[in-house]
Amino acid sequence: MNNAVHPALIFFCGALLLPLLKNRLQKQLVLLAIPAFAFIDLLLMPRGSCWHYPFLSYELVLGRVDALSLCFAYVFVITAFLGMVYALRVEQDGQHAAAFIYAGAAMGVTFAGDFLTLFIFWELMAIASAVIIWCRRSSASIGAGFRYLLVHLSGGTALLAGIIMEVSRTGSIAFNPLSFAGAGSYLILTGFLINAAVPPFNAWLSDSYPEATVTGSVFLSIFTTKSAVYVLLRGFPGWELLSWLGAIMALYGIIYALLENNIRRFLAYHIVSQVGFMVCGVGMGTELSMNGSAAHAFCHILYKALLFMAVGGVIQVTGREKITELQGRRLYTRMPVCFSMYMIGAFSISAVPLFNGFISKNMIIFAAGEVHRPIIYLLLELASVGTFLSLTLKLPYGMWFGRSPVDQSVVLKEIKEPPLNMLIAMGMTALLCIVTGVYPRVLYDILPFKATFSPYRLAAVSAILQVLIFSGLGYSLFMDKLYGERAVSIDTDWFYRKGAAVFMRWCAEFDAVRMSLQGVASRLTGKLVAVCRNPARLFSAILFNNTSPAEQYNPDAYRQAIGIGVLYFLCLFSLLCLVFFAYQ
Amino acid sequence: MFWKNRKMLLSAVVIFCLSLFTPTSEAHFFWERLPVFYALFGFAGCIVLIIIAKFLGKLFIKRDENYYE
Repeated sequence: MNNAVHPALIFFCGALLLPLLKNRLQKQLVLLAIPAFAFIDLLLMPRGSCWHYPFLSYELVLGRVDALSLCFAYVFVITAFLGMVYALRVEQDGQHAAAFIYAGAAMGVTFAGDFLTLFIFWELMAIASAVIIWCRRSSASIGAGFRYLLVHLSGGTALLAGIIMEVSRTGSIAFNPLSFAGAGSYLILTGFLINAAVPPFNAWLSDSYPEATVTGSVFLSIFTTKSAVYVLLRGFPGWELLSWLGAIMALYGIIYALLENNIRRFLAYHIVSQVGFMVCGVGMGTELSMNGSAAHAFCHILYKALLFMAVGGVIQVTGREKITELQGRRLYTRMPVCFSMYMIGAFSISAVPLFNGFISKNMIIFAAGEVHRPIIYLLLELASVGTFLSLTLKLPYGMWFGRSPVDQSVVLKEIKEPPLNMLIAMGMTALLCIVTGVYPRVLYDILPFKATFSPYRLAAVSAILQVLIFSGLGYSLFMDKLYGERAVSIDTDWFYRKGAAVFMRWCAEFDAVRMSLQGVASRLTGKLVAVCRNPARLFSAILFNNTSPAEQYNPDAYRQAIGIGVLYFLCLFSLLCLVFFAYQ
Repeated sequence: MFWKNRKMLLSAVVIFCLSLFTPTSEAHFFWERLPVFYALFGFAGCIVLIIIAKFLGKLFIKRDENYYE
């Protein structure tokens, strides 16, 4: 018997309920209760397939509940709760409602058993997340939100086209692993890759996430890319292409992060890099590598949310978000709790033993060793070095320490710790990062496949410690080279941001031609109208060379004459008809 | 500066020595049997990444702050 309701429904109800409440306390209660209810609901959900609805000649499956979907659903709900704790003081109802719809849509994608349901929730996710970006209400965020939405709607269109081709080929809308056949599967893959931010489709992520509010970017970091990893695990396990794309992507994010000055964009590039590990795990397609992808998605959501929370705390308090503006202020002395939370997140993402990145990232790298892919193995190891280098060495040096301020003109106000609810959210997330790192069984027990992995082997711990300590030594040689610089990086969004400007210039020129043609046409029309007002004048002008000024047009002037003429003609015509019929 | 940080340097030496005695029975690749491979990899990898990033940054990635405005 099924006692559960679809968790998306709970989130949607929350979104509808929020604007109806008057009291702030009630609203805060709802903000925390909805994800809690959703979590209880997940525990009640029966394994297997439920919520089947006939639609046209197909069957919609809203609840495919198995280990893979539950693994993602758990972490989505947990971090939705943590994100809400973090955002508790935000008084913009719209932002909370959008976050609930976003979370609900992600749950819908996670449990979708057919392509149509998947597509609907997929699009809903794009729209809700764009609203979260717009909630900052600055001109930059509005622009970034529109670019974000355009990219995702294009991805959604590719997905829909692929789905239609695939459904017409196979005759079924069930969402199962796809074969290599036909353009349909490639279009679906493109739709998924756009959401997973795989280069060259990655620029939307680093363009838009830093433009949201500090609480908004925590939610943004959770759902879109990881639900894309989920659908890749469902639809494209073992596609060779993905393992290469993933490995390249892992390094791509690192290179850009090393050059970045905006601290949230820095983290956004690390999402690209970390999702690269997961995509690579999907591409290798063994049970261990896919377990690794799922585990890494789980851990990544936690530590990335933590990093966005800690960095958001700095932005909230200082109002600055560039390394060049924060460097050399010794912020760690003013906000030590926030600093420790950041470092827990940084150690987790850098796969330091006892933190959760260690137990998941190494699973993917180990899987690359098992299937004997030396180049991918080394690329992933190099990306791990880069992660440690940028997030545990470069960014803390820029954000928390630094020798002297780069930009002397920037004066920071009174600096203290961020509000208590933010610190509590960070603390809970950090606790989860450490618990899963120290006691990995809690995570390994909910992984989708049977493959087992023991992270704490002497060889693995020794290897990671060697890598970390010696890359630290390497960094100390080049410390000054990585000082913050006032610059922006151009990414693949250059093509559509600059391309759109060129396109608009063309449009303006095209429009100028159109306007001049229209001017000619309207002048001609004016003349024609003048002629039509009094056609008789045209004849008199041509025949009698009459150039006297136009008289006022009098509609009755010729009415009688024409009327009589028509009457005579009708009489004549009637007579002719009579004669014709009489003599036939 | 880590070079001047005694603790850092000491831990590097300890790790380096430990790595000489790490079992390599489950190695997938030949380099995993080399005792200090990961130390060298970390050190070289870090420098290579910085150089590549800086080079690409100078080549075309880095632009003025108001580039898109």
